[in-house]
Amino acid sequence: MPELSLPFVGLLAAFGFLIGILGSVLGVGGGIFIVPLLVLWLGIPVHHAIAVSLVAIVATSSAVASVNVERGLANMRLGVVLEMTTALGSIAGALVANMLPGRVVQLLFSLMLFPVAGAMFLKSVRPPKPLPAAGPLPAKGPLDAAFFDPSLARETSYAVRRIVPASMVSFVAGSLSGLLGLGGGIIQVPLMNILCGVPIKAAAATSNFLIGVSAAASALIFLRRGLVAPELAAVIVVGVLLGSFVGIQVLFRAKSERIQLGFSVLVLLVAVRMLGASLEP
Amino acid sequence: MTSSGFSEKRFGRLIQRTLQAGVAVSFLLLAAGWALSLSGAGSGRTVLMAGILALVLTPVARVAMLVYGFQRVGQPSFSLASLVVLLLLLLSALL
Repeated sequence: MPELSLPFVGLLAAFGFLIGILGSVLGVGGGIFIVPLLVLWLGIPVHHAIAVSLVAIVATSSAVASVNVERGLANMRLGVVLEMTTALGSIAGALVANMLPGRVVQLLFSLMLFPVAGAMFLKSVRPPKPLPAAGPLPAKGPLDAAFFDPSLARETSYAVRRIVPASMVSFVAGSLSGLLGLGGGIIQVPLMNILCGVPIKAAAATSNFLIGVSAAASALIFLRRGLVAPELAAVIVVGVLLGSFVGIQVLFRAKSERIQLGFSVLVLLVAVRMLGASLEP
Repeated sequence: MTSSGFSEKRFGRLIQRTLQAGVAVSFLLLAAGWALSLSGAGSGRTVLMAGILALVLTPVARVAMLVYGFQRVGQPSFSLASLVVLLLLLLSALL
């Protein structure tokens, strides 16, 4: 673990701040940037990096979810149902991560970055289309919900479908979260949108809501094993938290396909470097 | 959907306040921990660790409030689902 001098702390907080802004702008959690930053540039063991990443995910999720719940965007009923399997997966993932050697975890992380870069690229060339306006809903199911969409200036109601397969996929998303220190939104958002029929805004808010629980479940496991370095985590968390607040407030409208495209290339480069580092003799 | 005046809106606000309180407490502890560390006080690391712990326990507190809130708004099945999640979180703290 490097010595935390004052200039170094400032640099780390600035990185955290940048990652927080990027997370808000790109709609991805900080994990895909925090883990490579700590491992590749600071030489921090991958298990420690994952632990810091999980704590940062809890921070951003809690901060952002508090806004989304109040706006009625996050579907708490759907969230808690998916949290059951997500938390279970997250616990399993964290336990497996702690059994694997760092090199293997790093290899798995780099392999995971390739589909993430691919998903970001696809999003940049083919932005998700809003669901066509649904007709009057049939009998209201227990998970169905509605929210006010300011961009449409009307209430949008939706039915939640296929909850059983969605719960199974959520288990996988949770496992990846615990294993690699990712939030899992990259799986949860399309899952809720495409499989369950939840509008993209509500899916993103609900995903953010439940990610806090899965990250907390695995963070507790890493904490108990003494893998969370408090000084390092504190600097990154404060930076990321401030960055995501700025990202939400200032740059919310700066989302563009071009930014997504640029960062899909960056994630791809990080994936290649991380893969190379994990395969070095 | 309401029972004894506990509306969905009040429920949402309860969850929002729980999350905000958790983030605020941990933020203050982290700031205090850094101030103590930089001033050379030995307790800095402990306070930083308390801040991290407060942060990680924030979603746990939020789930506990879901157990209570779903019960209050008359949706016991979701209260039970929240209880399962709460037990899983407690389990992860013990593993």
